Amino acid sequence: MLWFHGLVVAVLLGMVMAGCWDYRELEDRALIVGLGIDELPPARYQGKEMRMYQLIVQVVEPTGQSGGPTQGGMIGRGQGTKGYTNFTIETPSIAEGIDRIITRSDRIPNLAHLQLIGMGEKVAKKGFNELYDFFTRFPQMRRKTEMVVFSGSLPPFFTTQSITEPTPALHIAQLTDSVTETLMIPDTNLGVVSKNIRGKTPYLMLLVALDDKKEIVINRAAVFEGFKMVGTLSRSQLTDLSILHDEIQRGILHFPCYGGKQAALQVLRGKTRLKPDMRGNTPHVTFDIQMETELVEYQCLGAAMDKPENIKRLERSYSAILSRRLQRTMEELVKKYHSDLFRLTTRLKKDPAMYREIRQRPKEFFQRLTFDMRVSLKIRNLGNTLETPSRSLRP
Amino acid sequence: MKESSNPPVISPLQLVFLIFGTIVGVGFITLPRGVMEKAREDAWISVLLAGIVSILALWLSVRAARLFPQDTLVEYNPKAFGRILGFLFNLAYAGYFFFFTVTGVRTMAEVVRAEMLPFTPLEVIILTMLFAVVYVSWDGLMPIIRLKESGLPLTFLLIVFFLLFAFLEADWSELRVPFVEGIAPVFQALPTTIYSYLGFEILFLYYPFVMRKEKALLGGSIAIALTALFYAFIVLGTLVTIGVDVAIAQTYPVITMAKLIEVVRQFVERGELLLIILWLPLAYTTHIVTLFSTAFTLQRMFPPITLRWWLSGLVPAVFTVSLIPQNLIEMAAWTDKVGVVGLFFSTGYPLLLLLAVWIRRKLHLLPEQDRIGETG
Repeated sequence: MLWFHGLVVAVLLGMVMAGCWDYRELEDRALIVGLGIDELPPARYQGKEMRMYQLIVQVVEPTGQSGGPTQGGMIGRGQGTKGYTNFTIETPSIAEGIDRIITRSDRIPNLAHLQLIGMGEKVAKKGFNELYDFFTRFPQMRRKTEMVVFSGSLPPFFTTQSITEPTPALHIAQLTDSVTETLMIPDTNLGVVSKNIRGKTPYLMLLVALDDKKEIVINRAAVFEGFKMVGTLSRSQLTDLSILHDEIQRGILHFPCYGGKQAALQVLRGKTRLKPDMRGNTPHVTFDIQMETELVEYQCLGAAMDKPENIKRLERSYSAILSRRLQRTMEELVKKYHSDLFRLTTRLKKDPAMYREIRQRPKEFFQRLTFDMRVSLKIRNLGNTLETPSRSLRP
Repeated sequence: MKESSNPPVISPLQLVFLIFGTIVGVGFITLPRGVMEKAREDAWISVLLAGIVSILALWLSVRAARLFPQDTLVEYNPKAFGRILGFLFNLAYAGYFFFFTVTGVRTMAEVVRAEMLPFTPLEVIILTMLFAVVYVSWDGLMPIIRLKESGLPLTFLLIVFFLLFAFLEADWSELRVPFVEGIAPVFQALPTTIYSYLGFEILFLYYPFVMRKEKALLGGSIAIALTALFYAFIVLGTLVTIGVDVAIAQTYPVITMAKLIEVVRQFVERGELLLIILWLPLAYTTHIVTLFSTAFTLQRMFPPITLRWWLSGLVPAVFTVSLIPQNLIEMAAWTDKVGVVGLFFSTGYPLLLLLAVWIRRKLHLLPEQDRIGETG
């Protein structure tokens, strides 16, 4: 039976040495790193009236270094050393749009490295239900892919590069990632979106805009319920929501003192605990927030930090300000949305009575909900100086 | 090279690896979906409970196998049930392992194609796996056991270590106080969960080769307990990372969990590929035992045909049958049917065997001394 062994080994070796069956050179793959989608007016497509989408597919060029100018349907192509190629397609479905890339390119599209999905405000407001299925069904899709809403026309976002990142989609993805990690803004990726859609809770997507200098800025977020954008949040509401969510990262908190001047505290770490309590028929939640901070700037001049009681006084004052601010933000958001922007559906699982209420009757729950904040802010580090300059300009 | 003529000898530790490696295979990739559909956040409790039920079933199986310590099921079925019924039981047992292999190999191939090699034909993935399975099975049971003994601990530890990265994304508030919705959902999830523990019924074939038979129950129980802990770890991980509502909507929830793993953004991006690479050896060690058990049973039923011929003949048979289901949903229906048969062989069959032997002894059709040589 030696021949049989030989045969088996030869077959196995043959399979291994030939490499994967579907091996493709990197140059033969169109690695899609960004998808932009916006709503177009409905059109007759294959004899039927259908929603149409503008799809911008950004493909990274492995040998490229910098992007290039717009050229009709294909942006940034044909310059020799581009960092990316944009394909702009009008289509009723993402799958069909990506499929059409094959007819316009000699490469096979690959979505396994997709970093960014950006929706225009039009499609976000009308609902992205037709698109969502592709995002969650297609095996190559990644749960960490950032999802954002673009404020304004899509094409400029897919041609705006940064100094360090020649591929615009990667630039926005990295910006989104660093914004959520360094500022106090909740995560907004496909995994989070998918979890909230399945759990029937509202969620956020960062709102990406271009400023007057045509630079990309992220300082607002879109609120979604189901597949529709239903409102927006300001930067300070986002920060407050992040604290209420217990997603406290290394952001900076600003506190006013006089004449518009501010003190800035960098958050070192923090924790928000919920203390639920059914008061008769009224659900009540206490947000217990513990925060450790570092003083990074103090424009409220003339203070001496060398006495412990001064620091204690500042801590008490800032805790009260933050508490009032969080209370106000939460009141505004509850009044406006009557829904769970605060991830209570998940976080109240430990309280069976309240969990049942919020799962079965979420709108009623938020109409009846009362809440209060208990903030304990500690200043752990003062930086390199104990004294602040005098208010007077003269020494 | 000739087939080994020495009977295999299985030490207690080898028995642990043999049973553990057979149970943990393809099923855990989809396990969280089935169990969470019913038990939701209490799924991990259902998994542990199913482990306890499986240990009870194992106890029953060992008690039944002890009646004929020197025989495999193929020999004692005719003694206990008569020639015709005994033959049919043997055939059903071989058929069970045949379809266990078919469903396992096809599911494995579907996962590999969907997540790893989208353009590779299923046929190539299945055939490659079957060749590798036959190669290890060629010289009998001992190489299979040694392969498990040498490869399983490292593979298992690596897969646990790898999945721990997903726990970095855990949202522990997804956990809930147990039994909020009563204990009924936890028990309703048990039948589908118990399917994932099938595999220990191989003891009916290999019990005669166990070196210290008094430790067979302990060895099997350790294997099932390890499986239960591993499954609880997997279900808990899925729960706290992707959440219940997402998990029950996923085709492969554990792969979805692995998609959260990113070791330094844009450096190790596709964590699920690493999971599949680590999972394939686990699937492989199950396929080896099930295919070998099919061939072993058939060889004992029809001794003139050698084990190697049976193995060679089973490759095209498994290959052909595994391609019959049109899609994964049809395959899942097959898997459920195999699960029902497996449930019969792990609980109903030992009870029937004990009953049949008791009746036959009462009728003096079987001697009382069949336990001789039990300490083997």
